[in-house]
Amino acid sequence: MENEKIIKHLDNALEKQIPDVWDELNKKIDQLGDNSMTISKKKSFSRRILLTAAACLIAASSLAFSPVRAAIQNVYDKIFSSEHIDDSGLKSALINGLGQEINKIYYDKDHDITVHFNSILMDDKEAKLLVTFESKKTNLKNYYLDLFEGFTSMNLVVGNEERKLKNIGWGSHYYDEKANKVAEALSFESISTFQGDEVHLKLKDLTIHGNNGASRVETVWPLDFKLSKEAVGGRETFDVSKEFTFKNETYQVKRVEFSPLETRVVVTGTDIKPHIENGVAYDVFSKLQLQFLNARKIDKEKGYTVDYKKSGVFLNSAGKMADPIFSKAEADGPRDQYVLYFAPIKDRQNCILQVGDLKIKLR
Amino acid sequence: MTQTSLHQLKTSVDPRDEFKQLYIDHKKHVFAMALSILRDFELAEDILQEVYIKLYQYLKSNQVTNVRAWLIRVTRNTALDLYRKKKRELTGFEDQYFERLEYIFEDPVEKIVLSQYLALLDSGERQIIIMKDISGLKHKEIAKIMEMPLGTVLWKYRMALKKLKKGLE
Repeated sequence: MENEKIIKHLDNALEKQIPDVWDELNKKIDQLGDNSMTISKKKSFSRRILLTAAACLIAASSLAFSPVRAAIQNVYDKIFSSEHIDDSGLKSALINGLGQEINKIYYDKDHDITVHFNSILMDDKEAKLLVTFESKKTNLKNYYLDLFEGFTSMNLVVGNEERKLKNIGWGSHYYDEKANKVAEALSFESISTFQGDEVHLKLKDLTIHGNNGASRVETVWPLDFKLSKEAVGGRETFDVSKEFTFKNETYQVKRVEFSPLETRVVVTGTDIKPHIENGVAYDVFSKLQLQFLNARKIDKEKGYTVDYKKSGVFLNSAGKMADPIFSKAEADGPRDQYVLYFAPIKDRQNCILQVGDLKIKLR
Repeated sequence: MTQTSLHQLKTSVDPRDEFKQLYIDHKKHVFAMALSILRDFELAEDILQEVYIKLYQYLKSNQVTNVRAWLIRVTRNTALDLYRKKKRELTGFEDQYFERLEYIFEDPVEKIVLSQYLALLDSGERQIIIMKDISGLKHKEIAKIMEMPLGTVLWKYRMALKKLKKGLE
Protein backbone atom coordinates (compact mmCIF):
# COMPACT_ATOMS: atom_id res chain seq x y z
CA MET A 1 0.00 0.00 0.00
CA GLU A 2 1.31 3.46 -0.84
CA ASN A 3 2.12 5.90 1.95
CA GLU A 4 -0.61 8.30 0.89
CA LYS A 5 -3.24 5.57 1.02
CA ILE A 6 -2.04 4.37 4.41
CA ILE A 7 -2.34 7.88 5.83
CA LYS A 8 -5.77 8.33 4.23
CA HIS A 9 -7.01 5.10 5.85
CA LEU A 10 -5.50 6.11 9.17
CA ASP A 11 -7.11 9.53 8.96
CA ASN A 12 -10.51 8.01 8.19
CA ALA A 13 -10.18 5.42 10.93
CA LEU A 14 -9.29 8.07 13.52
CA GLU A 15 -12.07 10.36 12.35
CA LYS A 16 -14.62 7.65 13.07
CA GLN A 17 -13.30 6.96 16.56
CA ILE A 18 -13.58 10.50 17.87
CA PRO A 19 -16.27 10.57 20.55
CA ASP A 20 -18.68 13.47 20.62
CA VAL A 21 -18.11 14.90 24.07
CA TRP A 22 -19.44 18.39 23.40
CA ASP A 23 -22.52 18.08 25.61
CA GLU A 24 -20.47 16.81 28.52
CA LEU A 25 -17.81 19.43 27.91
CA ASN A 26 -20.43 22.15 27.72
CA LYS A 27 -21.84 21.06 31.08
CA LYS A 28 -18.39 21.07 32.65
CA ILE A 29 -17.76 24.57 31.36
CA ASP A 30 -21.09 25.63 32.91
CA GLN A 31 -19.94 24.14 36.20
CA LEU A 32 -16.80 26.26 36.13
CA GLY A 33 -19.03 28.94 37.51
CA ASP A 34 -18.57 31.74 35.01
CA ASN A 35 -21.18 31.07 32.39
CA SER A 36 -20.80 34.43 30.77
CA MET A 37 -17.43 33.47 29.30
CA THR A 38 -16.50 37.12 29.51
CA ILE A 39 -13.94 37.83 32.14
CA SER A 40 -13.81 41.36 33.30
CA LYS A 41 -10.43 42.76 34.23
CA LYS A 42 -11.69 43.40 37.74
CA LYS A 43 -12.56 39.76 38.22
CA SER A 44 -9.17 38.61 36.97
CA PHE A 45 -7.53 41.04 39.36
CA SER A 46 -9.56 39.72 42.28
CA ARG A 47 -8.51 36.22 41.43
CA ARG A 48 -4.88 37.23 41.35
CA ILE A 49 -5.25 38.88 44.73
CA LEU A 50 -6.83 35.74 46.13
CA LEU A 51 -4.03 33.59 44.77
CA THR A 52 -1.43 35.90 46.28
CA ALA A 53 -3.25 35.75 49.59
CA ALA A 54 -3.28 31.97 49.43
CA ALA A 55 0.43 31.90 48.67
CA CYS A 56 1.12 34.13 51.66
CA LEU A 57 -0.97 31.89 53.87
CA ILE A 58 1.00 28.83 52.84
CA ALA A 59 4.32 30.60 53.26
CA ALA A 60 3.30 31.77 56.72
CA SER A 61 2.21 28.31 57.71
CA SER A 62 5.68 26.94 57.13
CA LEU A 63 6.79 28.60 60.33
CA ALA A 64 3.61 28.31 62.31
CA PHE A 65 3.80 24.70 63.51
CA SER A 66 5.28 24.59 66.95
CA PRO A 67 5.69 21.69 69.36
CA VAL A 68 3.52 21.62 72.43
CA ARG A 69 3.70 19.44 75.47
CA ALA A 70 2.15 16.03 74.84
CA ALA A 71 -0.94 15.45 76.89
CA ILE A 72 -2.09 12.16 75.39
CA GLN A 73 -0.79 9.19 77.29
CA ASN A 74 -1.83 6.44 74.89
CA VAL A 75 1.05 4.88 73.03
CA TYR A 76 -1.00 4.85 69.86
CA ASP A 77 -4.44 5.87 68.84
CA LYS A 78 -6.77 2.88 68.81
CA ILE A 79 -7.81 3.83 65.31
CA PHE A 80 -4.64 2.17 63.99
CA SER A 81 -5.79 -1.27 65.07
CA SER A 82 -9.34 -0.67 63.80
CA GLU A 83 -10.92 -1.88 60.57
CA HIS A 84 -10.27 1.55 59.03
CA ILE A 85 -6.58 0.82 58.59
CA ASP A 86 -6.08 -1.44 55.60
CA ASP A 87 -2.88 -3.12 56.70
CA SER A 88 -3.46 -6.38 58.54
CA GLY A 89 0.28 -6.61 59.19
CA LEU A 90 0.34 -3.34 61.08
CA LYS A 91 -2.72 -4.28 63.10
CA SER A 92 -1.20 -7.64 64.02
CA ALA A 93 2.09 -6.01 65.07
CA LEU A 94 0.29 -3.47 67.27
CA ILE A 95 -1.85 -6.12 68.92
CA ASN A 96 1.32 -8.09 69.64
CA GLY A 97 2.89 -5.07 71.34
CA LEU A 98 5.48 -3.96 68.77
CA GLY A 99 6.15 -0.22 68.83
CA GLN A 100 7.85 2.70 70.54
CA GLU A 101 6.03 5.71 71.85
CA ILE A 102 6.84 9.02 70.18
CA ASN A 103 3.94 11.03 71.57
CA LYS A 104 4.86 14.42 70.16
CA ILE A 105 2.32 17.08 69.26
CA TYR A 106 2.58 20.09 66.98
CA TYR A 107 -0.03 22.79 66.59
CA ASP A 108 -0.49 25.10 63.60
CA LYS A 109 -2.27 28.24 64.65
CA ASP A 110 -2.98 29.52 61.11
CA HIS A 111 -4.82 26.41 60.00
CA ASP A 112 -5.85 25.19 63.43
CA ILE A 113 -4.32 21.77 62.82
CA THR A 114 -3.02 19.64 65.65
CA VAL A 115 -0.62 16.90 64.56
CA HIS A 116 0.07 14.03 66.93
CA PHE A 117 2.95 11.66 66.28
CA ASN A 118 1.85 8.53 68.10
CA SER A 119 4.44 5.82 67.74
CA ILE A 120 6.90 4.08 65.44
CA LEU A 121 7.49 0.41 64.68
CA MET A 122 9.48 -1.46 62.06
CA ASP A 123 11.17 -4.58 60.83
CA ASP A 124 14.42 -4.56 58.88
CA LYS A 125 12.74 -3.47 55.61
CA GLU A 126 9.93 -1.13 56.51
CA ALA A 127 9.12 1.47 59.17
CA LYS A 128 5.64 2.61 60.14
CA LEU A 129 5.09 5.99 61.74
CA LEU A 130 1.61 6.42 63.18
CA VAL A 131 0.31 9.97 62.94
CA THR A 132 -3.05 11.65 63.47
CA PHE A 133 -4.04 15.23 62.78
CA GLU A 134 -7.26 17.05 63.49
CA SER A 135 -8.85 20.46 63.32
CA LYS A 136 -11.94 22.31 64.50
CA LYS A 137 -11.85 24.91 61.74
CA THR A 138 -10.07 23.49 58.68
CA ASN A 139 -11.81 20.73 56.76
CA LEU A 140 -9.17 18.00 56.52
CA LYS A 141 -10.94 15.82 53.97
CA ASN A 142 -8.32 16.46 51.29
CA TYR A 143 -5.29 16.66 53.58
CA TYR A 144 -2.72 13.88 53.39
CA LEU A 145 0.74 13.02 54.55
CA ASP A 146 1.34 11.49 51.15
CA LEU A 147 4.82 10.03 50.75
CA PHE A 148 3.81 8.09 47.65
CA GLU A 149 2.81 10.77 45.17
CA GLY A 150 2.31 13.92 47.19
CA PHE A 151 4.62 16.67 48.38
CA THR A 152 5.19 15.06 51.76
CA SER A 153 8.62 13.59 52.45
CA MET A 154 10.27 11.74 55.31
CA ASN A 155 13.91 12.63 55.83
CA LEU A 156 16.65 11.10 57.94
CA VAL A 157 19.25 13.48 59.32
CA VAL A 158 22.69 12.04 60.04
CA GLY A 159 25.28 14.64 61.04
CA ASN A 160 24.96 17.51 58.60
CA GLU A 161 23.43 15.36 55.90
CA GLU A 162 19.76 14.87 55.21
CA ARG A 163 18.49 11.93 53.16
CA LYS A 164 14.97 11.38 51.86
CA LEU A 165 13.67 7.97 52.93
CA LYS A 166 11.91 5.92 50.26
CA ASN A 167 8.24 5.17 50.72
CA ILE A 168 7.09 1.54 50.86
CA GLY A 169 3.77 1.29 49.01
CA TRP A 170 0.96 3.69 49.80
CA GLY A 171 0.77 3.48 53.58
CA SER A 172 -2.70 3.65 55.14
CA HIS A 173 -4.96 6.66 55.39
CA TYR A 174 -8.31 7.19 57.07
CA TYR A 175 -10.38 10.35 57.36
CA ASP A 176 -12.96 10.42 60.11
CA GLU A 177 -15.47 12.96 58.80
CA LYS A 178 -17.37 13.31 62.07
CA ALA A 179 -14.28 14.08 64.09
CA ASN A 180 -12.57 15.88 61.17
CA LYS A 181 -9.53 13.80 62.01
CA VAL A 182 -7.02 12.00 59.77
CA ALA A 183 -5.07 8.90 60.74
CA GLU A 184 -2.01 8.02 58.67
CA ALA A 185 0.23 4.99 58.99
CA LEU A 186 3.21 6.30 57.05
CA SER A 187 5.27 3.59 55.45
CA PHE A 188 8.92 4.11 54.52
CA GLU A 189 12.26 2.35 54.41
CA SER A 190 13.46 0.92 57.69
CA ILE A 191 15.85 2.71 60.03
CA SER A 192 16.33 -0.41 62.19
CA THR A 193 20.13 -0.21 61.89
CA PHE A 194 19.92 2.79 64.24
CA GLN A 195 18.55 0.66 67.08
CA GLY A 196 20.00 1.98 70.35
CA ASP A 197 21.03 5.28 68.72
CA GLU A 198 19.54 8.75 68.62
CA VAL A 199 17.47 9.18 65.46
CA HIS A 200 16.65 12.51 63.83
CA LEU A 201 13.76 12.48 61.40
CA LYS A 202 12.15 15.38 59.58
CA LEU A 203 8.67 15.01 58.14
CA LYS A 204 8.03 17.74 55.61
CA ASP A 205 4.86 19.21 54.11
CA LEU A 206 1.21 18.28 54.14
CA THR A 207 -0.29 17.42 50.74
CA ILE A 208 -3.72 18.69 49.76
CA HIS A 209 -5.28 16.63 46.97
CA GLY A 210 -7.90 19.07 45.70
CA ASN A 211 -10.03 19.17 42.58
CA ASN A 212 -7.43 21.22 40.77
CA GLY A 213 -4.49 18.98 41.51
CA ALA A 214 -2.21 18.74 44.50
CA SER A 215 -0.88 21.59 46.60
CA ARG A 216 1.06 21.72 49.83
CA VAL A 217 1.18 23.25 53.24
CA GLU A 218 4.88 23.81 53.78
CA THR A 219 6.13 22.76 57.16
CA VAL A 220 8.87 20.78 58.89
CA TRP A 221 8.25 18.53 61.87
CA PRO A 222 11.44 17.32 63.54
CA LEU A 223 11.24 14.05 65.44
CA ASP A 224 14.18 13.18 67.67
CA PHE A 225 14.21 10.00 69.73
CA LYS A 226 16.40 7.09 70.77
CA LEU A 227 15.33 4.07 68.76
CA SER A 228 14.51 1.35 71.26
CA LYS A 229 14.41 -2.40 70.68
CA GLU A 230 10.65 -2.35 71.38
CA ALA A 231 10.20 -0.65 67.99
CA VAL A 232 12.14 -3.21 65.95
CA GLY A 233 10.96 -6.65 64.90
CA GLY A 234 13.16 -9.37 63.39
CA ARG A 235 12.90 -11.20 60.09
CA GLU A 236 13.29 -14.88 59.22
CA THR A 237 14.15 -15.69 55.62
CA PHE A 238 13.94 -19.07 53.91
CA ASP A 239 15.11 -19.80 50.39
CA VAL A 240 12.57 -21.72 48.35
CA SER A 241 12.66 -23.15 44.87
CA LYS A 242 9.14 -23.90 43.70
CA GLU A 243 8.11 -23.54 40.09
CA PHE A 244 4.56 -23.22 38.82
CA THR A 245 2.78 -22.23 35.61
CA PHE A 246 -0.11 -19.77 35.57
CA LYS A 247 -1.83 -18.54 32.40
CA ASN A 248 1.05 -19.81 30.24
CA GLU A 249 3.67 -17.95 32.26
CA THR A 250 6.24 -19.76 34.39
CA TYR A 251 6.92 -18.46 37.87
CA GLN A 252 9.41 -19.47 40.53
CA VAL A 253 9.04 -18.79 44.24
CA LYS A 254 12.53 -17.83 45.36
CA ARG A 255 12.11 -16.85 48.97
CA VAL A 256 9.68 -16.59 51.87
CA GLU A 257 10.26 -13.98 54.57
CA PHE A 258 8.50 -13.66 57.93
CA SER A 259 8.40 -10.59 60.16
CA PRO A 260 5.95 -9.20 62.75
CA LEU A 261 4.71 -6.75 60.09
CA GLU A 262 4.34 -9.01 57.07
CA THR A 263 4.98 -12.22 55.19
CA ARG A 264 6.76 -11.78 51.87
CA VAL A 265 6.71 -14.32 49.06
CA VAL A 266 9.34 -13.36 46.49
CA VAL A 267 8.66 -14.56 42.95
CA THR A 268 10.38 -14.32 39.56
CA GLY A 269 8.63 -15.14 36.30
CA THR A 270 8.69 -15.05 32.53
CA ASP A 271 6.51 -11.91 32.44
CA ILE A 272 8.04 -10.19 35.46
CA LYS A 273 10.18 -7.71 33.58
CA PRO A 274 9.90 -4.10 32.44
CA HIS A 275 8.03 -3.13 29.30
CA ILE A 276 10.29 -1.20 26.92
CA GLU A 277 8.67 1.50 24.86
CA ASN A 278 10.43 4.22 22.96
CA GLY A 279 13.65 3.30 24.69
CA VAL A 280 12.09 3.82 28.12
CA ALA A 281 11.53 0.94 30.54
CA TYR A 282 8.16 0.95 32.32
CA ASP A 283 7.08 -1.32 35.14
CA VAL A 284 4.00 -3.25 34.09
CA PHE A 285 1.73 -5.77 35.73
CA SER A 286 2.55 -9.46 35.32
CA LYS A 287 -0.29 -11.98 35.12
CA LEU A 288 0.53 -13.05 38.67
CA GLN A 289 0.29 -9.47 39.95
CA LEU A 290 -3.03 -9.00 38.17
CA GLN A 291 -4.25 -12.22 39.78
CA PHE A 292 -3.08 -10.97 43.21
CA LEU A 293 -4.94 -7.69 42.71
CA ASN A 294 -8.04 -9.46 41.41
CA ALA A 295 -9.27 -10.14 44.95
CA ARG A 296 -8.69 -6.52 45.97
CA LYS A 297 -11.80 -4.65 46.96
CA ILE A 298 -11.82 -0.92 47.57
CA ASP A 299 -14.01 0.23 50.40
CA LYS A 300 -14.55 3.93 51.10
CA GLU A 301 -14.41 3.44 54.86
CA LYS A 302 -11.96 0.57 55.16
CA GLY A 303 -9.54 1.15 52.28
CA TYR A 304 -8.31 -1.99 50.55
CA THR A 305 -10.03 -5.15 51.71
CA VAL A 306 -9.93 -8.76 50.51
CA ASP A 307 -12.73 -10.43 48.59
CA TYR A 308 -12.19 -14.13 49.26
CA LYS A 309 -15.08 -14.99 46.94
CA LYS A 310 -12.98 -13.84 44.01
CA SER A 311 -10.10 -15.69 42.48
CA GLY A 312 -6.79 -14.28 43.73
CA VAL A 313 -3.46 -15.18 45.28
CA PHE A 314 -3.76 -16.20 48.91
CA LEU A 315 -1.52 -17.60 51.61
CA ASN A 316 -2.83 -20.40 53.75
CA SER A 317 -0.95 -21.10 56.95
CA ALA A 318 -2.05 -24.13 58.95
CA GLY A 319 -5.57 -23.77 57.62
CA LYS A 320 -5.81 -20.03 58.29
CA MET A 321 -5.76 -17.40 55.57
CA ALA A 322 -3.24 -14.58 55.86
CA ASP A 323 -4.78 -11.46 54.30
CA PRO A 324 -2.98 -10.01 51.29
CA ILE A 325 -1.60 -6.53 52.07
CA PHE A 326 -2.66 -4.56 49.01
CA SER A 327 -1.24 -1.22 50.14
CA LYS A 328 2.18 -2.66 49.35
CA ALA A 329 1.15 -4.56 46.22
CA GLU A 330 2.54 -1.85 44.01
CA ALA A 331 5.63 -1.05 46.07
CA ASP A 332 8.83 -0.45 44.13
CA GLY A 333 11.30 -3.30 44.05
CA PRO A 334 13.79 -5.05 41.77
CA ARG A 335 12.29 -5.18 38.28
CA ASP A 336 12.95 -8.89 37.77
CA GLN A 337 10.99 -10.03 40.81
CA TYR A 338 7.61 -9.47 42.39
CA VAL A 339 6.84 -9.56 46.09
CA LEU A 340 3.49 -10.88 47.27
CA TYR A 341 2.71 -9.31 50.64
CA PHE A 342 0.56 -11.03 53.25
CA ALA A 343 -0.23 -10.54 56.93
CA PRO A 344 2.22 -12.09 59.44
CA ILE A 345 1.60 -15.76 60.22
CA LYS A 346 2.25 -17.83 63.31
CA ASP A 347 2.87 -21.24 61.77
CA ARG A 348 5.84 -20.66 59.52
CA GLN A 349 6.38 -24.35 58.79
CA ASN A 350 3.08 -24.96 57.07
CA CYS A 351 2.43 -22.51 54.25
CA ILE A 352 0.51 -23.03 51.03
CA LEU A 353 0.38 -20.38 48.31
CA GLN A 354 -2.92 -20.44 46.41
CA VAL A 355 -2.83 -18.96 42.91
CA GLY A 356 -6.32 -19.30 41.51
CA ASP A 357 -6.94 -23.05 41.69
CA LEU A 358 -3.25 -23.89 42.00
CA LYS A 359 -1.83 -24.83 45.38
CA ILE A 360 1.90 -24.54 45.94
CA LYS A 361 3.32 -25.86 49.19
CA LEU A 362 6.05 -23.43 50.18
CA ARG A 363 7.38 -25.07 53.34
CA MET B 1 -1.98 34.33 11.70
CA THR B 2 -5.28 34.96 13.44
CA GLN B 3 -5.44 35.33 17.17
CA THR B 4 -8.10 33.75 19.34
CA SER B 5 -9.25 34.72 22.79
CA LEU B 6 -12.54 34.78 24.62
CA HIS B 7 -12.42 38.57 24.61
CA GLN B 8 -12.44 38.33 20.88
CA LEU B 9 -15.05 35.60 20.91
CA LYS B 10 -17.45 37.62 23.02
CA THR B 11 -17.90 40.08 20.18
CA SER B 12 -19.34 37.29 18.04
CA VAL B 13 -22.96 36.21 18.09
CA ASP B 14 -22.58 33.60 20.81
CA PRO B 15 -19.15 32.98 22.35
CA ARG B 16 -20.08 29.44 23.34
CA ASP B 17 -20.88 28.69 19.72
CA GLU B 18 -17.51 30.11 18.76
CA PHE B 19 -15.83 27.87 21.28
CA LYS B 20 -17.83 24.93 19.97
CA GLN B 21 -16.45 25.70 16.54
CA LEU B 22 -12.92 25.43 17.94
CA TYR B 23 -13.92 22.08 19.38
CA ILE B 24 -15.27 20.85 16.05
CA ASP B 25 -12.29 22.12 14.08
CA HIS B 26 -9.57 20.60 16.22
CA LYS B 27 -11.03 17.69 18.20
CA LYS B 28 -9.44 15.18 15.84
CA HIS B 29 -5.96 16.55 16.46
CA VAL B 30 -6.44 16.40 20.22
CA PHE B 31 -7.98 12.93 20.26
CA ALA B 32 -5.45 11.45 17.80
CA MET B 33 -2.50 12.80 19.78
CA ALA B 34 -3.90 11.53 23.09
CA LEU B 35 -4.62 8.12 21.58
CA SER B 36 -1.11 7.95 20.12
CA ILE B 37 0.42 8.34 23.56
CA LEU B 38 -2.07 6.42 25.68
CA ARG B 39 -3.34 3.74 23.26
CA ASP B 40 -6.56 3.76 25.26
CA PHE B 41 -9.78 5.15 23.81
CA GLU B 42 -11.43 5.96 27.14
CA LEU B 43 -8.39 7.79 28.45
CA ALA B 44 -8.05 9.65 25.14
CA GLU B 45 -11.66 10.77 25.54
CA ASP B 46 -10.87 12.04 29.05
CA ILE B 47 -7.90 13.96 27.68
CA LEU B 48 -10.09 15.45 24.93
CA GLN B 49 -12.36 16.98 27.55
CA GLU B 50 -9.57 18.03 29.88
CA VAL B 51 -7.62 19.80 27.16
CA TYR B 52 -10.64 21.76 25.92
CA ILE B 53 -11.40 22.87 29.46
CA LYS B 54 -7.79 24.03 29.72
CA LEU B 55 -8.21 25.90 26.43
CA TYR B 56 -11.42 27.52 27.65
CA GLN B 57 -9.76 28.69 30.83
CA TYR B 58 -6.64 29.84 29.01
CA LEU B 59 -8.58 31.87 26.48
CA LYS B 60 -10.30 33.84 29.23
CA SER B 61 -7.20 35.90 29.78
CA ASN B 62 -4.82 35.04 26.94
CA GLN B 63 -4.62 35.12 23.19
CA VAL B 64 -3.49 32.15 21.15
CA THR B 65 -1.99 32.77 17.74
CA ASN B 66 -2.13 29.14 16.64
CA VAL B 67 -4.88 27.22 18.41
CA ARG B 68 -4.04 23.92 16.70
CA ALA B 69 -0.38 24.01 17.76
CA TRP B 70 -1.38 25.10 21.29
CA LEU B 71 -3.85 22.22 21.55
CA ILE B 72 -1.34 19.67 20.29
CA ARG B 73 1.32 20.84 22.71
CA VAL B 74 -1.04 20.85 25.70
CA THR B 75 -2.55 17.49 24.69
CA ARG B 76 0.89 15.96 24.45
CA ASN B 77 1.91 17.21 27.89
CA THR B 78 -1.41 16.23 29.50
CA ALA B 79 -1.38 12.75 27.95
CA LEU B 80 2.26 12.15 28.90
CA ASP B 81 1.48 13.19 32.48
CA LEU B 82 -1.40 10.75 32.58
CA TYR B 83 0.73 8.03 31.00
CA ARG B 84 3.36 8.44 33.72
CA LYS B 85 0.67 8.27 36.39
CA LYS B 86 -0.98 5.24 34.83
CA LYS B 87 2.16 3.33 33.98
CA ARG B 88 1.69 1.05 36.94
CA GLU B 89 -1.58 -0.08 35.46
CA LEU B 90 -0.34 -0.68 31.95
CA THR B 91 -0.08 -4.27 30.96
CA GLY B 92 1.51 -3.68 27.60
CA PHE B 93 -0.30 -3.89 24.33
CA GLU B 94 -2.37 -7.04 23.97
CA ASP B 95 -3.51 -8.80 20.82
CA GLN B 96 -7.07 -8.94 22.13
CA TYR B 97 -7.10 -5.20 22.68
CA PHE B 98 -9.26 -4.49 19.68
CA GLU B 99 -11.68 -7.27 20.34
CA ARG B 100 -12.65 -5.74 23.66
CA LEU B 101 -13.58 -2.42 22.18
CA GLU B 102 -16.48 -1.40 20.05
CA TYR B 103 -15.28 0.08 16.82
CA ILE B 104 -17.13 1.81 14.14
CA PHE B 105 -15.50 0.58 10.98
CA GLU B 106 -17.18 0.41 7.63
CA ASP B 107 -13.91 -0.34 5.93
CA PRO B 108 -11.94 -3.34 7.27
CA VAL B 109 -8.72 -1.85 5.88
CA GLU B 110 -9.15 1.14 8.19
CA LYS B 111 -9.33 -1.18 11.17
CA ILE B 112 -6.15 -2.98 10.10
CA VAL B 113 -4.29 0.28 9.47
CA LEU B 114 -5.28 1.73 12.85
CA SER B 115 -4.50 -1.47 14.74
CA GLN B 116 -1.10 -1.81 13.03
CA TYR B 117 -0.37 1.85 13.65
CA LEU B 118 -1.05 1.40 17.38
CA ALA B 119 0.74 -1.93 17.64
CA LEU B 120 3.85 -1.49 15.50
CA LEU B 121 4.97 2.07 16.02
CA ASP B 122 6.52 3.35 19.18
CA SER B 123 5.05 6.31 21.02
CA GLY B 124 7.39 8.89 19.44
CA GLU B 125 6.76 7.57 15.93
CA ARG B 126 3.01 7.65 16.45
CA GLN B 127 3.11 11.23 17.66
CA ILE B 128 5.19 12.36 14.69
CA ILE B 129 2.83 10.69 12.20
CA ILE B 130 -0.17 12.35 13.82
CA MET B 131 1.41 15.78 13.92
CA LYS B 132 2.72 15.58 10.36
CA ASP B 133 -0.01 13.76 8.48
CA ILE B 134 -3.17 14.26 10.50
CA SER B 135 -2.62 17.70 12.00
CA GLY B 136 -0.49 19.01 9.15
CA LEU B 137 2.31 20.50 11.22
CA LYS B 138 5.69 21.18 9.66
CA HIS B 139 8.63 19.01 10.62
CA LYS B 140 10.18 22.11 12.13
CA GLU B 141 7.15 22.67 14.38
CA ILE B 142 7.14 18.99 15.34
CA ALA B 143 10.82 19.17 16.25
CA LYS B 144 10.05 22.08 18.54
CA ILE B 145 7.14 20.30 20.25
CA MET B 146 9.03 17.02 20.58
CA GLU B 147 12.20 18.82 21.68
CA MET B 148 14.17 16.84 19.12
CA PRO B 149 16.63 17.85 16.38
CA LEU B 150 14.92 18.34 13.03
CA GLY B 151 17.03 15.55 11.51
CA THR B 152 15.83 13.09 14.17
CA VAL B 153 12.19 13.98 13.47
CA LEU B 154 12.67 13.47 9.71
CA TRP B 155 14.44 10.17 10.27
CA LYS B 156 11.81 8.94 12.73
CA TYR B 157 9.01 9.96 10.37
CA ARG B 158 10.53 8.00 7.49
CA MET B 159 11.18 4.99 9.73
CA ALA B 160 7.61 5.06 11.03
CA LEU B 161 6.10 5.06 7.55
CA LYS B 162 8.45 2.29 6.47
CA LYS B 163 7.55 0.18 9.50
CA LEU B 164 3.83 0.72 8.96
CA LYS B 165 4.07 -0.09 5.28
CA LYS B 166 5.98 -3.28 6.00
CA GLY B 167 3.47 -4.31 8.65
CA LEU B 168 0.61 -3.91 6.22
CA GLU B 169 2.17 -6.02 3.48
